[in-house]
Amino acid sequence: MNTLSIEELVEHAKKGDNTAFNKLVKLWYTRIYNYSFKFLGEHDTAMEVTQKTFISLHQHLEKLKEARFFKAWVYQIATNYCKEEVRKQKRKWVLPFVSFKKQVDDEIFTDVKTSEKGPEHLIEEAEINKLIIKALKKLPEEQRTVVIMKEYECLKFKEIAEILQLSENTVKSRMYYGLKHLKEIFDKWNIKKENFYYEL
Amino acid sequence: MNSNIDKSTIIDYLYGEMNEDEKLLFEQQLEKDPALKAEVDAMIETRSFLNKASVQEPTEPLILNGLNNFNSQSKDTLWRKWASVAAALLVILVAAAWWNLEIEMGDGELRISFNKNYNKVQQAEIKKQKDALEEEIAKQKDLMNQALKERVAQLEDSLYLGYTNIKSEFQELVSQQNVQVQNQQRVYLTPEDVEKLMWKINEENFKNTTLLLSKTSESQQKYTEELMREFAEFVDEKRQNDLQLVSYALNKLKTDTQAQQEETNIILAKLINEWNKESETKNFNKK
Repeated sequence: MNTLSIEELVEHAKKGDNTAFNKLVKLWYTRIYNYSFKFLGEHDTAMEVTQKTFISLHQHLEKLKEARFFKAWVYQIATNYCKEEVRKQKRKWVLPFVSFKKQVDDEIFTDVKTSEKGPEHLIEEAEINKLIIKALKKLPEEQRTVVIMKEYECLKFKEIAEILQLSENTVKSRMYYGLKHLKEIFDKWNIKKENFYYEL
Repeated sequence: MNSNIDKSTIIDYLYGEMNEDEKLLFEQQLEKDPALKAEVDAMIETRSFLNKASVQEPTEPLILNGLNNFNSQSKDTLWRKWASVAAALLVILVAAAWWNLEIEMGDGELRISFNKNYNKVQQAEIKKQKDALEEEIAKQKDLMNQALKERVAQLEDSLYLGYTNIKSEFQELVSQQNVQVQNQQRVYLTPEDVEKLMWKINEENFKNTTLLLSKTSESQQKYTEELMREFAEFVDEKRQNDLQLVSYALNKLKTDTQAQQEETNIILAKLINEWNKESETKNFNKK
């Protein structure tokens, strides 16, 4: 069982092999959680999306025609749940969310800009994650999805195009604008190379 | 961005999705185009920022509620669900019967209620009280109707009686007035009576006129006498006043004349004195 590939595990799981399914969960659980967390920026919601993704996977695995599409399929499910959560949050927290968000952004910007100790002392490891998640959340959904899939899930552009059912050029275009947008955000927050290299 | 280089090419270079020839060609372009190089460097820097994010670990295990028996379980799920519902219902019914609860079915409803016997007794009691109350209400209603009818009859009688009395009184009054009118017409319409009355009135008028004239002449005489007396008094008073005034004027004239005479004497004395002094002065000078 240990030596089986993803495709083989999927085939076994489709036939009702719980061990194979558990193995798939073990391989993908952290990955999907990580993807959801980067997308949503909140632990609780990311956990909920991860749970829902695997429940959906468990219920509908029989419908997956070819095991080689498993990867794209899982990401599709997770992406759909992430987008659903974003829509829910927008409906639920329209006014408070906007005001809170503005305040947090301003705090980050002020902290980095007005330091007397020097920027290298400001950004520590816990804060790096926080800043990056905040920056990702500021991207439009379509750019954020592509950036996360490429930078953190290390998918090929062809795979991303398959998952999102887009052309490769569109995916690359979104990636390009996503990176440009992130650069503008980091510049606005006055975050320079030195802030990060101190930690290396 | 250099217009000759499209976004896809930059992205391919950044993520190493170029073959060696494409990569070499792109790097040559980078050397020639500083703006393009700056753009690519900025993107590389942004990527390096993004890569500083660490992997997040989930803190909770995956919970697949009741889904552990993959495939085989899903077919039985529906039956199990219904069986559990039926079992729960059965337990409730048995428990209700055990505790002697009232169970009723009908009209698409299942009702379980407490105090079965007590409810029946209570309902019978309520029905009995309701009937008694309704009977009492009907009795009171009849009594009230009867009383009302009697009262209405009494009022009708009294009204009729009053109307009859008023009518008879009115008729009597009308007949009396007719008799009086007939009598009056008989008295005033006789010519002799009218003539007598006219004589009587004339005599009365004559007497009254005579009396009035005599009274009037007396009063006029008195008034004239009074007037004459008052006039005489007035004239006398006026004469006295005039005499006093004349006397006063004479006295005053006398006093004034005396005063003027004294003044004249003084002036004459002064003049004589002056004339004497002058003549003495003239004489002295001559001398």
